[in-house]
Amino acid sequence: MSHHAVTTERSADAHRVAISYVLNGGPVSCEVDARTLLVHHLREERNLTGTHVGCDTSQCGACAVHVDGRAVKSCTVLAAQVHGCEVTTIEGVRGEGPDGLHPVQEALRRKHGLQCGFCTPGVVMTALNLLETDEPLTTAQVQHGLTGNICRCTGYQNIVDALVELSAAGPESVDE
Amino acid sequence: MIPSTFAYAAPETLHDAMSILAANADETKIMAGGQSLIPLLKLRLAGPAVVMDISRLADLRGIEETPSGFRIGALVTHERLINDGAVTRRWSIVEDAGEDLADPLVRNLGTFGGSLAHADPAGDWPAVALATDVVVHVQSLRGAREIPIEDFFTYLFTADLADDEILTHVDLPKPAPGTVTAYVKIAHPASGYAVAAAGVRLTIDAGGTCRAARVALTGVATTPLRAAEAERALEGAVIDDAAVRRAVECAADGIDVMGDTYAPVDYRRHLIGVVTGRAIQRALGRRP
Repeated sequence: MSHHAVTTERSADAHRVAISYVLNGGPVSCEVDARTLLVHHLREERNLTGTHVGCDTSQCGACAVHVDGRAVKSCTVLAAQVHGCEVTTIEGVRGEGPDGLHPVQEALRRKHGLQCGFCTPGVVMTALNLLETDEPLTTAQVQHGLTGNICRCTGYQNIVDALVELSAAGPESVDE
Repeated sequence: MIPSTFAYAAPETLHDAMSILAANADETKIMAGGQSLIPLLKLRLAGPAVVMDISRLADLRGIEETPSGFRIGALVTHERLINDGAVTRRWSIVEDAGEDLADPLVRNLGTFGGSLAHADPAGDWPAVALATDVVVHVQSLRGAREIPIEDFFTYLFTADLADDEILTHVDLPKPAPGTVTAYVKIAHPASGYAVAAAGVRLTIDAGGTCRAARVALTGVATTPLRAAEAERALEGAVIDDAAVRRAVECAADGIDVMGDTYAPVDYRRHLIGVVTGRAIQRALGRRP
């Protein structure tokens, strides 16, 4: 078999990859370097800087975004992998309150679940998955659910309190 | 932390994937969920010419119940597996291991098959696989092979997979009547990896005699492996406190235990007994 087997149908140069995907509800078609990480693509090529680079080693979760509705670490995903997927970043999360805050963001504000705010976008993306349940979450469940998100300010307690309180109010309080 | 340059291929069929591998075998890395490979690429501990993303191979994505057990596709994510009630009802060990495997975000992308192929000596799924006697199925243009899990892990991060082979699925058997299982990990507090962990499967008859025992360890040697002496102490014995104590005392015997800054050899040998004992007790606590 000839070497051309590695060339994808999507691009003539196999080091570049043409991708089409949905970003925060809108279509995107572009070409990326095969080695470009999703977080760098989002921040530097789509100018969506709400997704943060914290540790860059797949530990801290500050870079969490949703791919097809599931929270993932965008520092550990290639941009090429989201071809055909739906990607939601913190910029795509909003609510109907006066500041446009989503109920998860509003709950974090109410309970002082952030201080410097660097980890908050990732915490929100993880929390959205965690709150996809009809049952109220226990403190232990929320703590366990946040093990992929590191916060160096709050000591977590206020984040946990915010999410427990929000889930106790029922699923309709989370949906927008 | 940007990977070195590579070509990217995302085949849509298993045949295309095997063809790409056949043409570029020694310079291609297979990526399933990428949760181990991408960190290695970023650290430039891996620098393949080609990264082949197999996530579009839809046939490898399912969990199928078969007469003898479950056929788990290579692309089944950790999250999917640990939330499969049909699997976890029969195999508590899967739920135990999943609880503390990496974190929820990694579990959304990382795969069971990828974890076995990666053959991390401290991986959780390898110990579960050894405790449950899974069979690994691999395929290449040359043909298909079935590999019993006890022959699969050959060295540090090395499995019995040729450069042109793809792990396609894993057969997880149904447990025999009277079987209880459990997994217990002592995790490194920062990394979450096992400093030592044990997966245990015990099949106990109505008289309390152990008919089959598996004790699988991870985090302790160059590969995940079975604690043969502990299994020998349990099989054929009436399972009482004395039998459990004997298994714990000999669990590290015959194993070339690795030491490191976190756990020197003597301490890790001690931990092998601790996790073995706790896993046995946890499993026994599940007897009806």
